[in-house]
Amino acid sequence: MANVANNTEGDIMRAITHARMHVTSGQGLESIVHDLASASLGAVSATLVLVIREINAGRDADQALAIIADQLRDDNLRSFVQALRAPGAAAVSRLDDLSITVQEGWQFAAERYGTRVSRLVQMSAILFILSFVPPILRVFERIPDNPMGITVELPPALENITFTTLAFLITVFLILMRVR
Amino acid sequence: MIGFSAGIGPLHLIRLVQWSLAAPLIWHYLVQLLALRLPDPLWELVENVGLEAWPAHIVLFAAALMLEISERAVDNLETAFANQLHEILKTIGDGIREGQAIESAVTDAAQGSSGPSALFREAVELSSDMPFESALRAVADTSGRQYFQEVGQLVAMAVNSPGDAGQAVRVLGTELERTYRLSVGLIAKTGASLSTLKGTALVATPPLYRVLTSAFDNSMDLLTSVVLWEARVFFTYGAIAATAIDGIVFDQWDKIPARLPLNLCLVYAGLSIV
Repeated sequence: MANVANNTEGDIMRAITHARMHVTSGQGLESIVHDLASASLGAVSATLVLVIREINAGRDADQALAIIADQLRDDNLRSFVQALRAPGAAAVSRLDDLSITVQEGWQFAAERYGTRVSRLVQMSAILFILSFVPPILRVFERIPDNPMGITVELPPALENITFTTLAFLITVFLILMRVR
Repeated sequence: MIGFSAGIGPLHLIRLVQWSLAAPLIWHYLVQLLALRLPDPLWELVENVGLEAWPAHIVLFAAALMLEISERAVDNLETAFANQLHEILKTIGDGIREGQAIESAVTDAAQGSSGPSALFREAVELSSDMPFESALRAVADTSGRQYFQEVGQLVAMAVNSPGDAGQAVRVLGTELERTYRLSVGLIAKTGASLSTLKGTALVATPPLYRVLTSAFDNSMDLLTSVVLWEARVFFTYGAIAATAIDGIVFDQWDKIPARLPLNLCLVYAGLSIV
């Protein structure tokens, strides 16, 4: 998932609600595909845009859905596309089943994502604490005859190097929070 | 959620007010934290009012805090709006199933004078000139509320369904409620782990760093202690990163004007305590 609020599972949950309404209102399959593709349903709409391309290439809606479903790697997304192909009540029933599966999967994926974010957050917090290193090292440099007997010679740009490195690492962690 | 619509809602106005207050505050704290030699209109304003340094700092902190509190209030209002909307949908569905006409069921369900009740009532008033579903679509489009725009379209579709429309609307209310609660619950769970980083970056590290450097400088008989420019830049970056993290993890980029001033203020206060 890209993040907690914007992910394929969430898109499919919303798409199921939309699709249910379209199917029960008795709309034709091609009309449903067009409506869902233009409904800003993230990954679902993006997939159905591909279906529309197949329809524009001369295939009927059912054929186009079957072709695109075969190309999908995401199991839930594939099940959603296949559920649309079922007639009337069967489609609603398959969408309801998929809703339960997606809810469980969504919770699991969010928990997994939360665990990873938590680790990255802890790493970033440690990096913030490392900002205490320069002043501590400077003390040892300025007091060579300190009780701990530690004598160090530090580069003049120690602070600059330390803070630039920490900021770079925190940026990397922030980027990792975004990517799947 | 669906894309931007022409409708301007209360949320857009709140964001406008937040940005107009946040922009000078953000500029002020950036100028102070990075020791920039640039004009600071907000500080000049509070000085011209006759405030001393400490009261002026407290006033600016209060302003930043107010922005954060306003954001919490907006969150609560949004949740209350969604909850009320789901309840109304379920009641409308029950009303239709008991044999009421859609307009009558909506009038009975939407008893409040604000929020989704007001929007549904507006749709009922408009429905004297057009079918209810068209009226609801029109109200949803101009409501300026993204969630109502999406739900309004779905309700219009459910009302139009050839089978049991009451059942369709009720199921819609239940499904939307379940999806909304699931989404809010997951965000709350992840948000708890992010508070570790925010606490470290904003509340713990800057003052500790300041106390540490000050103690070392005092131990070496230095009369004054100065926070290095590199450290100021680093902690300012920390405040910006702690604000951006809500956008990165939750797509809540619109909360930046409410959060960034307070985050910068906390870092500034932390680096100025000694």
